[in-house]
Amino acid sequence: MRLSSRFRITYALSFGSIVVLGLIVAWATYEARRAHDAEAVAGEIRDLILERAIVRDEFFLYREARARAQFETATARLDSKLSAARTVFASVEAQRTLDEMQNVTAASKAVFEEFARLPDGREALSAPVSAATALSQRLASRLILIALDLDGNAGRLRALAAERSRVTEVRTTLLVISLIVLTLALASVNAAMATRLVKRRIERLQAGAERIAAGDFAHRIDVKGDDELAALGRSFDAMAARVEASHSGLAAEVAERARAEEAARTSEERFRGAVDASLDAYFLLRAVRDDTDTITDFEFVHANRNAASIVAVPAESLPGQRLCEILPVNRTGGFLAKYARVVETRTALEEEFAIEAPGVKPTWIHHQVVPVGDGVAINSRDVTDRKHSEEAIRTLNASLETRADELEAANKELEAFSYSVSHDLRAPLRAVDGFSRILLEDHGDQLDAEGKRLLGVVRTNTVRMGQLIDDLLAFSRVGRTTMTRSSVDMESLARASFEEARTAGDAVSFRVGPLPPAEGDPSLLRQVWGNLISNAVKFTGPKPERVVEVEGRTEEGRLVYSVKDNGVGFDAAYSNKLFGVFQRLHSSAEFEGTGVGLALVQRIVHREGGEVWAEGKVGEGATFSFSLPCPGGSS
Amino acid sequence: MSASRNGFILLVEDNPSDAELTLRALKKARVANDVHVVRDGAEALEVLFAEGADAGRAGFALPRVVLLDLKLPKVDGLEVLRRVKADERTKLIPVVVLTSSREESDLVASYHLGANSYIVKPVDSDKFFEAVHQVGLYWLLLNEPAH
Repeated sequence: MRLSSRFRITYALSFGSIVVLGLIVAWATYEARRAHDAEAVAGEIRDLILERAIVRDEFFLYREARARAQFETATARLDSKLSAARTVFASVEAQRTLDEMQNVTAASKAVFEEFARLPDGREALSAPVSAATALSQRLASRLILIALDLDGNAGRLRALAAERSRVTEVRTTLLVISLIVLTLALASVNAAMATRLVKRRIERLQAGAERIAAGDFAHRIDVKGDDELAALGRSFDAMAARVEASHSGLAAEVAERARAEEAARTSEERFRGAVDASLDAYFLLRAVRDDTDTITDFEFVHANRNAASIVAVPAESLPGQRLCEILPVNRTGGFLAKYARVVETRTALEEEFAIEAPGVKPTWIHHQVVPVGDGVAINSRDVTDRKHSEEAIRTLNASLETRADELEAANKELEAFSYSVSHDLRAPLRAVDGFSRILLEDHGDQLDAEGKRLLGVVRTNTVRMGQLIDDLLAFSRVGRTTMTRSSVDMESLARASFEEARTAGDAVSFRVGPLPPAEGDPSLLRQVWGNLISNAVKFTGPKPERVVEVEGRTEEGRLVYSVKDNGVGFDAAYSNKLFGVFQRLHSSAEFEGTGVGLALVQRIVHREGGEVWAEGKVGEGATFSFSLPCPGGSS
Repeated sequence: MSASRNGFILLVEDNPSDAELTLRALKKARVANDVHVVRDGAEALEVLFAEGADAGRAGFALPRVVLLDLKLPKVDGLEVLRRVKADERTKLIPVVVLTSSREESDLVASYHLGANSYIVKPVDSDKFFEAVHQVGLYWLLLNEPAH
């Protein structure tokens, strides 16, 4: 419960007490007045009873009509008074008394009527006692008794009113006292509870505040309740939490800063170590400026050992010294201006220059200057050796270029030579053959059989020489022409080559397995297949059943193709001679050929980046294989 | 040289042996057309464009077909080919390159310039005669000229 609520309760209690007190007083006043009224009414009734008794007695004595009228008026007044008194006297006893009194009054009225009808009583009083006189005397007595009874009742009414007044007094007193006591008790309890709560809260708050003040930021007052001090405690806890958070943040920041400083120190050490250990010369310079902010000199901030040895000053004593004082050449040699420009333009400078001294080879320095703060960092390296190497490489390159030019020229010459060979050497041969033929045709009848045979020999050799020239040209062209590269369908090439190699009527069984496509120069690869397959067809000639098989596979990251025949084969001892130019293992009489075909195959396959090899036995056929790099691989 | 109804053949050949063999082969192939033999490119151009010695000659006519060697004195065969194919008057004349050269570059250059055929003269005279026979058959009998 909130403290303010408690205080409000106390106020409400006090206010309520006052109100109740007022009500009690009002009630008591009302009651007292009612009692007073009742007493007055009771008095009036008594007075009326007395007045009636006087009027009655007067009538008794004088028998006057006036008295009788007066009595009747008094009786009526008494009756109405009694009726009115009913509202004043609420108690049952009083009501009963009033009932009785009204009955008695009514009875007295009747008795009085009867008495009045009787003859005059005065004579009776003085005359002998008659029966009427006796009756009137009895009636009179009865009236007197009734009057007495009425009077008694009126007295009782009065006593009742007095009693009521007294009871009201006592009740009022009791009520007031108990009200005061109750109010005081409630207020005390409320105050005691509030005090205890406030005391407890304040103690916890104080203790918590002390702990937090002592640095225990994790402490929480943790008050339960919904009063203001509990709210204060919660606010305090919230504040403590914020303090804790900011404190821990601060602590982390401090730790981070310490780490950063440590890292910076380590880094500084590391870089200083790296700089000092560098084989290059390293300087750190700070600009020195005059009044007009113009750079007039540089001051050494740091220099490593190599740098110090260049300027011939110990590294330790270098910091603080001026560049132009140690090396006056800098003022004149343009370095000062260069460094100043680096600082002003914030643009790094990199250059190479030679330091020349009479009688010795120049020393080449590679020099890099970068702006650092209001100064420069300079890295210098002796690159004399590199310069010499570069010079050597340049010379070598130049001579290589010359050689390349020479080679190209030689190639051109060779090309021109080949052209001449192909063109000029063939023409005379054609003439020899052509005219031999004309000789045979036109003058054959003048030649005998031997003469004709000899001319035939001339022609055969002429044609053979033409073939040799063609083959040699093809062979040399392989080395000279530029190769193209494209995907080549090896299977259709092999089939086409077989169709070309087979002469009409040849019954050669040709089997070709699925061949993986290759990548290379299509026309060169065509020559490879053409030579190998025509060889195979040629050397199966003497066999009754001629078989040529072509296979292809991928093996160890390369493509391998082979052409196998069941022909005359070859002596494995001479297999090394197979691929040489003009090398033949058979005579021209046995198998025609120039001995260039396989050399051409080898040359092409080598140019395509592959190998070529052969296996065979005399009489049992031969297998010629070649490999090529897999397509997609680097050439 | 008279301009027959079928036109004449211009044979450009510097080698007299080859020229004689070619003539004989044409004769054996029963080609009836006149054959005009010139020894070099310059002479060929004279015949074709009526330049030089033949300039202003009456009855100027164009050959039915040109048999052209490539390696020629003065003006070489490729130049002759280029001139023939570049000129409106002569570019429709079929030019058959008849050469000893098997060089790829010659072949490609000839076709680029618009040669109608490229024939390598075989050393073997049987094949040579056969080749000339085929040329005569094709260009003079089978082929319908443009004019």
